[in-house]
Amino acid sequence: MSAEEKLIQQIFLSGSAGVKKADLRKEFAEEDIDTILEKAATHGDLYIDKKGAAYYCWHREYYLQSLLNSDPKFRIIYDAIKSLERSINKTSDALAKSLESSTNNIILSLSKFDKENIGTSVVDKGLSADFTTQLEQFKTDFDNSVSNYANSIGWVEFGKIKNELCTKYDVSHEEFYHRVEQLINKYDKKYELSTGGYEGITIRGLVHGFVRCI
Amino acid sequence: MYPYDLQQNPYPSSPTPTVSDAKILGGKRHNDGKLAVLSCIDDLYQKMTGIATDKDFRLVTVIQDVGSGKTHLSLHVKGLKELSGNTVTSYVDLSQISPRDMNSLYKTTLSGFTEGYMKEIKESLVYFLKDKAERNIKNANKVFRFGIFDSMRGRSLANKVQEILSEKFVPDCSTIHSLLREEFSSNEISIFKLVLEGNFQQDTHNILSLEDIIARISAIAALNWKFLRKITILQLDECDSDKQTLDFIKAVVNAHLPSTILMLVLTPSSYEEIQKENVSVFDRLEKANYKIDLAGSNTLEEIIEILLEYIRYNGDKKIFTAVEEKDLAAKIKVIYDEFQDFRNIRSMINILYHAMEDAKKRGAKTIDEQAIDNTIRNAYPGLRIQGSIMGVPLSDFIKIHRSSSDDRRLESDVRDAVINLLSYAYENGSVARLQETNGKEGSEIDLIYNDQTGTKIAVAVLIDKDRIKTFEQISNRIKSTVTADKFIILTNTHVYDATDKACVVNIDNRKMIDLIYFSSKYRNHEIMLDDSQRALMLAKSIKLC
Repeated sequence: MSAEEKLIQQIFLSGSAGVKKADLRKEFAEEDIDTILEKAATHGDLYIDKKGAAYYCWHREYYLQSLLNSDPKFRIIYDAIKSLERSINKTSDALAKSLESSTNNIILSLSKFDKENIGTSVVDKGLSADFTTQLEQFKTDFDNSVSNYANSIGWVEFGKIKNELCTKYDVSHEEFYHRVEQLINKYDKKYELSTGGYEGITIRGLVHGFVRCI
Repeated sequence: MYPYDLQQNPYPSSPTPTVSDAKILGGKRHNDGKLAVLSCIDDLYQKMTGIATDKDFRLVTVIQDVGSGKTHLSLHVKGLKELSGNTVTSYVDLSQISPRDMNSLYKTTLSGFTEGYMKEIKESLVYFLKDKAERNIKNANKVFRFGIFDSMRGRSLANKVQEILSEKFVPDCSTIHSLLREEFSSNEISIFKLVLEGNFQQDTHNILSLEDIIARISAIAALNWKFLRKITILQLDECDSDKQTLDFIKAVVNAHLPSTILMLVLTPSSYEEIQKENVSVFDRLEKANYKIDLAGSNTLEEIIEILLEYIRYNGDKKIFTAVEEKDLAAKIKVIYDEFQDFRNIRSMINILYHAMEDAKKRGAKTIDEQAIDNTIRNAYPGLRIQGSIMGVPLSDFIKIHRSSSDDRRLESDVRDAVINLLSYAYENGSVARLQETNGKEGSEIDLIYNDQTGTKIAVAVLIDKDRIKTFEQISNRIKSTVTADKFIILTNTHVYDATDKACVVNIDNRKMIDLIYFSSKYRNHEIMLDDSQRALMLAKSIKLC
């Protein structure tokens, strides 16, 4: 163990009481402890502070406790900060839970939206009514597009109607397919899907890129 | 013995239908499709006069998604006994042909005819020649190698005919051409010879071009009409946009093969690809004489009808009664409703196949809930009831789902379940104080409890299957004489109103089943650690904790 390590260990063992610099100088008489201590203090491994008339050294693990023990003002401020920290953490956790819960509720209510089953949650009149109206409007436009682009047997590629509806509703392609899924879940007897194509709704691991009204 | 006293499992286990499986055809849409094909055949047959001409060609398309029953319908039509007297069918699965070229397409078309047909046409041709020989027309005797020594030995032409038909004797076809050239085309004579020599399906060696192939198929169709008075049906399954295939189809359509129906089976996707690949062929498909549409082939009603038909066909009406049908249909409905992945006939047949096997092993007389549950768990281990917090097994789900058709019982069960759930929450410290009203305090309130913050909450359960109750009806409960800080109304009625003091919680079927399932476990002291967490989550999900 080097002299520097022995010195740090000696300070560590002194705990929150710290150790006098003068005592260290006596104990490590052969070493240039000022240089060693200055270097360690620069690295943040220890702290040197005046206590009474003498300079004391504390290991970084114990300096805070030393301050809390010796300085009432510091302890009050420290407690206040800790209380604030706890409060922020608590609020942050609650916010995260609330966000998670809200997101889950929205996802749940959207995915369970069918004519027989309304998802379990306290029903927000505004949200449900808006959603229903939006879906109904989307249905009207979707049906029109299917009718316009369908081939002679009624099938149409999602890709052919996607751009038109995305532009009209100013929604992304993902949002478009999300709405289509809602629509088809709600009116599952009115639409028929078929596999193939390059994009569409995935069921049983198969991309269903064609749709028609039945 | 299988359920419903069946001797064998009525459901096929193969992922795609076989000719044998296709004997059974259920479902309104599929039967409508069948009727359309039969109508086309009948229409053509009625219009056929003495000689088949290029006016006697029809094009039929069957376009629907994979797994919707197109192949099944095609094979069913091919195997129909009622058509055996007036049609000859060659079924070709194009997906099995690789590499796809003119020769392989022709070869597979020839292979698509049945052995029964081969015997029938050969017999007709042999008897036709026998007739000529008997009337001593030209050198018809030579075909049978029938000479004076045969007569002296007491052998007749009839003996020769039998030997040819039993393939003990190969006729001499060297004189066929000169014998028949005034009555038949050269291609018809070639087919004649191939049939007599037993080399019908090896004709590809003599074919050099698409024109030759069309001429040969045309000759086959003409002979089928002349000798058998049968229309030729060419079924091309799994049609796609492969260039060789499209050229073949185009040539067949353009040639207007006599007394022939070309039946193309394809998916909407391949139909779209054909449009992009070959407009000319697409245009011809658009103008098909019949477009068989199996729209709605994956609807619940269609799937139930198809599935029931397998048991009806194989079973006894006295055992598989209307009541049994209704019972099985209800179970199928639950699978259909709860698992989107199974909303197609192929998956459903697979489930019922396994369910039949499971029921048989357990000696069950019907396909019970346990059979379906075991099937789902074993064959599809990753599947769960969507949205079920309690992780209700499918068998319990089906049982509870079925019993929930009784409104009164459902409301009573849900009420008991809510009381049990809150009792459990109280035991676990999630609820501070619990007080059952039993109708004493506020006749409409089922339970009162204090939550952890001391808030007094009154709970009412209102289940109404017809779902037409208005908020006024529900609010009557709130206006009861109970004093509480907050009211929670649990209902399956669609209402969209709540007040500051009343919280209206809509609970769907799945949630009710979760509650009833929990309640059953609670009553039977079967709550495990995992259930405990789920139960509290369930309570939170309906705003009770």
